[in-house]
Amino acid sequence: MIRTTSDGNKARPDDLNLHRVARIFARTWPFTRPMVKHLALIVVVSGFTFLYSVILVSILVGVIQNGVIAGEPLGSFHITIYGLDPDVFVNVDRLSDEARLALLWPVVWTSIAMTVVMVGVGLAIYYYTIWIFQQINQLMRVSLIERLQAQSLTFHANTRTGDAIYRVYQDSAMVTQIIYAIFLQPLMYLGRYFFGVAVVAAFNPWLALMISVTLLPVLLLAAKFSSPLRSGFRTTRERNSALTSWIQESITGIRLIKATGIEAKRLQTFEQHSEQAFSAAFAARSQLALFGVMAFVVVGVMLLAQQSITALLSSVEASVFARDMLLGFGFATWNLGAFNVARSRFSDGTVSLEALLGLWGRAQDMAVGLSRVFEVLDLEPEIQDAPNAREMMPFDQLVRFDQVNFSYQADIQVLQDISFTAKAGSVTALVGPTGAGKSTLMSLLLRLADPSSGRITIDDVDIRALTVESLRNQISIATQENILFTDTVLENIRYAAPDASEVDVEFAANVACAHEFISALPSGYQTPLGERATKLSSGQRQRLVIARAIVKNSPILILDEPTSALDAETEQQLLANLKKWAIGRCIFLITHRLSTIRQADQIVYIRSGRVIETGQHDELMTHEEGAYRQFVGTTIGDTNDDAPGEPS
Amino acid sequence: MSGSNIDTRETLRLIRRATVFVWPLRYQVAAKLALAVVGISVLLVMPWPLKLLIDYVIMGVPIGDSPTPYPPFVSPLVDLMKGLTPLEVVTVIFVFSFLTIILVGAFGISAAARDGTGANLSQGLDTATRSENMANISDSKVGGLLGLFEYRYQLQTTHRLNHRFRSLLFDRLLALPMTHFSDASVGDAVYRVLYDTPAISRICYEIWVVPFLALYTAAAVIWTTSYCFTAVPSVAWAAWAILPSVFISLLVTGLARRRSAESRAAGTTTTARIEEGMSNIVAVQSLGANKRELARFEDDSAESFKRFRAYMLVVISLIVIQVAIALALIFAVFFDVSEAIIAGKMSAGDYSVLFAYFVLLLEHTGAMGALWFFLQDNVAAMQRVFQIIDLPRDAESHGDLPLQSVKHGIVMENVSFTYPDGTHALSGVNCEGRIGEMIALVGATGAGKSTLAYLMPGFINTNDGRVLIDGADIRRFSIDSLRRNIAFVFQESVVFDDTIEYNIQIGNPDATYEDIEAAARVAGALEFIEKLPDGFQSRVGQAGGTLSVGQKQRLSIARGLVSSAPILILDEPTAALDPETERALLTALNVERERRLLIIIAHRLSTIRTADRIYFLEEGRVLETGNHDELMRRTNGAYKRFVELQFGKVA
Repeated sequence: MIRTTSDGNKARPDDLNLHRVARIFARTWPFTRPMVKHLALIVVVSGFTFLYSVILVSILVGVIQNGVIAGEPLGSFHITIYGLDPDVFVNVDRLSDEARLALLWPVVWTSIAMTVVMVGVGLAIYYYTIWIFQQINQLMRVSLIERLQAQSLTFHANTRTGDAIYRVYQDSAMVTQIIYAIFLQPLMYLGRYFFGVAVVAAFNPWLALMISVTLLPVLLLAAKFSSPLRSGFRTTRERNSALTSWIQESITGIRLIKATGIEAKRLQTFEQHSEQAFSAAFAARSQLALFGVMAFVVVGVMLLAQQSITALLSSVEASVFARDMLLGFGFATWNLGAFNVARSRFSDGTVSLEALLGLWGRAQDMAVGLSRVFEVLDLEPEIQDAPNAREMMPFDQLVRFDQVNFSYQADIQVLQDISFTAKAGSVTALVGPTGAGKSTLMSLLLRLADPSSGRITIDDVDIRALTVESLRNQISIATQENILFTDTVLENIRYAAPDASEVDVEFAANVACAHEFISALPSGYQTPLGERATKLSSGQRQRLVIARAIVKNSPILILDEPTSALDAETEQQLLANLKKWAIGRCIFLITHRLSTIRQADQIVYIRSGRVIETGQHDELMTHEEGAYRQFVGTTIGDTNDDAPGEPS
Repeated sequence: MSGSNIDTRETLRLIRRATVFVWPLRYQVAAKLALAVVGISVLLVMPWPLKLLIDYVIMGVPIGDSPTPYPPFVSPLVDLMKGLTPLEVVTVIFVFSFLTIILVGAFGISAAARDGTGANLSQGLDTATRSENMANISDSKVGGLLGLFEYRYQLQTTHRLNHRFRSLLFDRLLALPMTHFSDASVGDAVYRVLYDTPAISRICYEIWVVPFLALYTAAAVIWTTSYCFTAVPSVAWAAWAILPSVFISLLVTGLARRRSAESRAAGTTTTARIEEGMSNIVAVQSLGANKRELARFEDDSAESFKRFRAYMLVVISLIVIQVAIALALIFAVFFDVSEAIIAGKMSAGDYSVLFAYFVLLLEHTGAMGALWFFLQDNVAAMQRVFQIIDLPRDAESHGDLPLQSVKHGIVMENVSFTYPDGTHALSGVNCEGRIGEMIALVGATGAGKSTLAYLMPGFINTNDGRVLIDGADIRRFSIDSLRRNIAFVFQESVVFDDTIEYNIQIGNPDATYEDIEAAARVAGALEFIEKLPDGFQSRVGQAGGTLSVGQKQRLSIARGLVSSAPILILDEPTAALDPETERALLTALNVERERRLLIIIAHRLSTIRTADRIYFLEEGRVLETGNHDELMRRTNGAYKRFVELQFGKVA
């Protein structure tokens, strides 16, 4: 599915076509919609600015080229806006030198008026667009993270963190550019293209036809290059994603790398990944560059032809097509000004086509990036609220496992036919060899995954009929792998219960026997912990995790190997504290320690995914050949020299 | 670690270091420069055919009657066309231009008639997402065949450079002392390797190519204008004046530097947040903290966007300054040139040539003016990379003497260790172990057992006292050979996303399949491995997500067993094992100890009892030493009390 593979040098085939690309672009709409008002404003303002600049440029070219440089008479329009004397500037054969010099200051003022507006508005729009796009991108990033977080453990077991980082960063950034590339810029370029065609048609309709014809080879090029470009970009993105994963995993496993001295090997593979990423980028970008060069050849030849034709027209002073309209600007016949204005409109039109073509090339990359985003957004979380799910009532009686089966991959059965009940006010110990499925069983209770068959009920309600949030709110867990977050000790403890007061936190820390060592830390509860909190010992981390479970104050508590890294003294103290705190709650304990197991109200002995025996310690010990008794036998047998007799 | 202030001296120092790194690629960079010079030279010829077109074809001035001379590099073409009809002139220019379109993608002066070559992709709106284009930086001022060639050549050079640089950083990251990663997050490392390193290529081109091209263009423009337009001296002056004006951008560089560093630091936090959230997904979900994690990410991400906008504001202010300068200079010559044209000292075509030359000149000097400015952003990235490269590597505190196979054992003399934050972990510890012995380190949590074990393979270094192997200080031995002699099984098991076989084999690259299988059997892992669909070839997911903690631990133990290192350290090897597996393991270890020194950190009595010697630690000191029976005979002994508690007498 979305698992990243690093399968050598094979390029990814292009699995998108025009229709799917269009659909991907269409799907960005929900992310764009909140910003539509702002986008519309930008389009309107840009349109006005463009018209403003085109008009001023036409005026300027007329005055500079025709008036100042060639000394030809101006149009009536110039006279009106600059308030000039028509007898000196229009109704003459040639402008006098004084008249030409008098035009210099109007040119300067008009240029300033144009530049100030163009640069000012242009930069303001630029900044405004950045803001708008960031808002849109933020929306998409957040949905991605939300969707990734909601995936079940089965999903996370099979995907890499680096891939997630790459998708959230690089792939999702494409959403903003899509708006640029398929909406704002095409709108702008098409506007300029048609405007160019119209202006050029006013000078000479045949030239306008030439611009229109340019469209054909341009479309042909676009069609030819799309698929190879997409395939190149997808390969690039996947290679980069694999590289990101490799770095992430290496840093996470740095201790092992050092201990086994495999640095050189890791580096070697890193270099392979890095080279593959770069060679993919080289192939894709060279392709894009070639595409750009070819597009210019098409456009360049057209421009050159147009320039040659208009130069010849001007040399014979041929008359222009829409004479009456252009007269006001001083372009009654083909002259230097007309040559320049027509040339700039013609090139604006054709270059817009070239730019559109370039956009199309880059849009292929965006489509690929976005398709990788939608791959994640399309993942239906396996664990979802049922359509008519309801809030869980406060737990008060019993948790029942009813013939529960579960497997991560279809062919390996992890749990088979698990059935037992646990009452409120009782401690259930889950005992059995490593890998028997004890932790998995508890993750089913939390709905981190759902049973493949059978059901789990709380107070006789199937947990799949409850909302996930309300279910998890009533269960707290101290996980076996002591996971802490980059934050202070205080925030780590109240991570699952943000509303807990400092008093609550301290109380929980006391129960978990953690208060003492926390107080001894440099800044006590405010001490910041690094991501892996390596400064704390395992036992200390374990106690923080237990405190975190306690502060949530929920009626169901799961402790997964809560005391494995604790020394005996701390463990005894902690268990005594827990017992006092736990009155009326339903507690699940996963443990190997006999001292802990003995204190449970009920023992569920699990082996190879099946429940072998259930009962109290004393009861189970009476089964002569019982599996539990054998299990205890191995523990005591080892230590019976020193082990005290039966505890009670 | 991030965003510390960089002053000008520091900037220059960082640029120098970057240049030193780029030095081996100097010929490639020089070749790129040569290609760029050819491209610009062609562009300098481009405006002249247009002058011919305007003066002769449109204005009807006979060729050769130009009031200004043609520069030597175009006069042969002009001489060729003397006496031709307008149609013939247009045809010659058409053919000439057609060739230049194919070769260099340009035939005229306006932006529309010139093509550059580039392939920048659309990028996002914060520093990290923009780095992708920077890692692929390459461009050409011309198009056509030359442009394409130049683009591909430069891109290749860029890739070689970036690849070398990020490989160096990755290598250094792996060589950092283990304690570094307790504070610095994984996301930070990812960000530096992927998003900070590409700055080197940008620096390389900015420093070597941009100033050279700017000077070349300025020289060419100044020379040509002085040669052709002697009638209007202010033209040459203005060209000269553009040069110093570029330094006005220096006004905002300090600000740019700070904003850029802030933007990168904020990006790092966001990366770290994604990484942490994904890696700890079990905790996030089971604690019902999805919403909270999401809110934290949202804040961080919004902050990094905000920082980027702040940086862009500075960029915008630079653009405003540059536009203002350009406008002022163009107006300055506009009057003189217009008067010269009216007086007939210059032609209409000259105006176009001049205008084109000024645009070209402004473009290059503008790039040079912005050079120092944009370097700031890259220098901020460079600093973040060099920070890591400069950190002491753990190999640095070690000599390079190769440690042959350990013959006798390890001795720790009066060893003390304090963590960087001031926590005393060990004070004055003495202990020893010989090949053929099994040593147990016992004590309450936080007593310093793991810290003591970390000192042996040089994961951390003592503040005081010595660690000796076969009588020699371990610091004299190379870190590689030292660690080859000591295998370490960690308390919290690390599993790589690869096959089971790979995960065991990294303990000993020379291990055969039989060795691996045997180790897996002893570690009690064989049973579950054989049940996996592909056995030893099964891939385990991210951080071993498909395996239970106990299974991962067994893999770690198998990895330790498969190694042939004479010293084997096991940190709580049996914590997650059930008694049956533990027993099997202990039996196996009893065999192992004959040819190795085993050092075991354990809480379980069953494990400890068989040790030859027990070191009982409390608060970083060794309280008691002896074997189990000896220590149990001490009335009120700390160890005795510990053991009694372990078996529930107080409960």
